[in-house]
Amino acid sequence: MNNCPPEEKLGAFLDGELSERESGAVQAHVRACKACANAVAEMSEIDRLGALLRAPDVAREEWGSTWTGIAARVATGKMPVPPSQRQWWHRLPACVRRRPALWAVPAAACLALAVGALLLTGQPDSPQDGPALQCVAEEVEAGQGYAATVSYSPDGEATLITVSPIPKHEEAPPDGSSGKTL
Amino acid sequence: MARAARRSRAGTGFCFLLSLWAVGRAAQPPPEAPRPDLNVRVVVLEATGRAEKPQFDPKTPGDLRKLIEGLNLAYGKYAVLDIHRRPARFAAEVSFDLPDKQTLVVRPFADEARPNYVRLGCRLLDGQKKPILINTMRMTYETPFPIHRPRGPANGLLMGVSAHKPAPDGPSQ
Repeated sequence: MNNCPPEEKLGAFLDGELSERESGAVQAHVRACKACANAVAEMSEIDRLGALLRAPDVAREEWGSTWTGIAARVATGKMPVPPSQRQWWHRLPACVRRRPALWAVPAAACLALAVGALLLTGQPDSPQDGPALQCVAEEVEAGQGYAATVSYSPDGEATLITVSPIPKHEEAPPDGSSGKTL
Repeated sequence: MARAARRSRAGTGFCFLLSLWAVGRAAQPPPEAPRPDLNVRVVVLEATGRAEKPQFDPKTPGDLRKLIEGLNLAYGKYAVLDIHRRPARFAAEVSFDLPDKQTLVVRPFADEARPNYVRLGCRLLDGQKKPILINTMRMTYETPFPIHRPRGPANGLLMGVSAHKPAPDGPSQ
């Protein structure tokens, strides 16, 4: 039938959201129109099956942690994307991303220099074999009242972590508490 | 009379079964401790004085001595206070008592992508169990790294922390 009501209206009819007059009109149409009668029957079946579904029980702790994550995302206004899922250009500085054309020439020059240097000096060592990666501090944090510094030996084979107390009258050690010179 | 005899036979049978169970249990070997994933070694050195060329305690492990010599430290003498070795499991903490009532807590993690590497999460706690330092090191096995804790103008503690793969037949290094 050409003057069939839209699907949304049929759904509203089933849910009892239409006025009495509209509901009467749709009901009369459904009685006369086989296609709409079938559509209403399908929707009724979906409603019936949906009512049988039971939401799974969620532990209070699980829900609490989920809600904490949702609240954090709502507070920041965006969904955090794990670094592994970010596109590589998202890791570029914002100034580069805004005007990529300006940076294309210097980037190409640097690439050419790097390729040239590689060809002249031979293959670089793989990171796994390189001594500089044998000992790397990924995160260093000093407790309250202490300062921590990370320094490396000249050959890059060793990492030294120095932790020293901050004098109470100072916010930071006078010489930056460098572990290189004691 | 017959009932009493049945009771007696049942009691004897029960005692026999009980003794069988006790003998079987005694014959079982004791449950084996889980094999450690790695061994964590912490060498505690006391550094004192100033000198161009430092003197090392002969007990200082060679790898740690070589490492300290490569650093730009100006201490004159290094004395070994303690050498701790502990079997450890990945993601489980092991604690080491240090001088000044400090504690070093180490939690090792496996590097799934590179089996030769290990990550050591370290927490240095003071006498009140308050964290002084929290750090994570990514390193190869058998490679020590030092944590330096100055105690005065020419005095300090050095903790050389390293992870070692356990020997195939036990937790020894």
